[in-house]
Amino acid sequence: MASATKTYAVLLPESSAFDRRNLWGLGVFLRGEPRELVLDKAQADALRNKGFELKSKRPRPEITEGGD
Amino acid sequence: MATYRSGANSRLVLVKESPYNTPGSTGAIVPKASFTIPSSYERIQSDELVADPNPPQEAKGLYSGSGFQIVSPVTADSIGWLLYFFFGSYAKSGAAAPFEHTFKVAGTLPPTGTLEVGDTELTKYDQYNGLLPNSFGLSISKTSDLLKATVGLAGSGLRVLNGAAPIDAAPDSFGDKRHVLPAVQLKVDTVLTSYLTGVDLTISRTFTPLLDLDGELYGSDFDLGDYAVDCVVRGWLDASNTLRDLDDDAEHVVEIISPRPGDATRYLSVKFPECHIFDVESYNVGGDAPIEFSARIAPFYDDNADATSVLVTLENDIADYAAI
Repeated sequence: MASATKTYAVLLPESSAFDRRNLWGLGVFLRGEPRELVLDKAQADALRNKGFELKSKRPRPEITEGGD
Repeated sequence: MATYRSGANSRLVLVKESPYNTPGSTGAIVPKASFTIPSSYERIQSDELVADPNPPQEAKGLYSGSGFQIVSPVTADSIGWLLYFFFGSYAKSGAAAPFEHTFKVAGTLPPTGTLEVGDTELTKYDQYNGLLPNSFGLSISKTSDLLKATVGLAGSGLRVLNGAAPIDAAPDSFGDKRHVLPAVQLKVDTVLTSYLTGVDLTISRTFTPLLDLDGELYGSDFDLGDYAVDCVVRGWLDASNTLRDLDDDAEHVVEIISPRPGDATRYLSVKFPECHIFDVESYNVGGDAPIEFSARIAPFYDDNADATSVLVTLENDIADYAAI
């Protein structure tokens, strides 16, 4: 069952109580180092709950080669 | 089409509760080798012998509140969350990771937890609320095994079954490289002695769980009891009687140490600050191996500075359990 996903820049903020967090299926987050991830809504909500900062990113327009 | 499953999509998440029966929104993955959920009703049956050949109707009884068991492969990184649940608190030293975490039985009630058993592919989640761990065991048989922790839990809380969404869609994970044939070493009176081929450690706490009636009537609390520690270590019998000579009627400080592969400064330590060591005169001989000798560690608390009979330490732990 596929659910709607979006691309986010996910940041463990400087004010976090943690230096690093290892999240199941998402990998390791280090404080101050944003990571770009594709998340579904439940995951995005769970990350916000944990104090992560999420900025949604617009999908990049597909680059097509000229001359077609 | 029927799908046959091996448990690969099953997920076990432990969530701290506050208050009782109310899980928070963030949890952590419990690495699992296996787990057992005793989701069984007791049935009220008549034991009268009656003339009627057909048995009378049974009544729905109480939920069984004991018998939850998790067997978890242990690394110095993955075990902290379970230790935290078992002991209920910990002491942390160091302002930033790596920390030193120490765990011992305190006189206060540990927080209750919710265990969520999920299948991530089917997106089905069952919650068992109001759990308290009542036994914690570490075992290893070096000849064939992982270092494993066995945690027994007693539950008297609600059950929220067949949910479509998990409590936490991105649970924390403390999992790391697993110890395959981990080194487990014995440290006696601050001197590292022999490598062990086996350890069986059990710490038991006594709680009196109350049983619940299908989510409508349930116990509001547990009685906090005492705890007991038992430990047997095994190693090869050698010419210098390394293990055998420890039975000398003297008081010892014994530590069982398992370092993380590749980093000897990060390790799990189980320390008995005061103990006697008894030769239990039990041997195992298997295949072409030497004789395996067993010694029983009998810990006690009299006057040691750690003020406990067993102290578990995660040295240079990179994980932090504070805010979860």
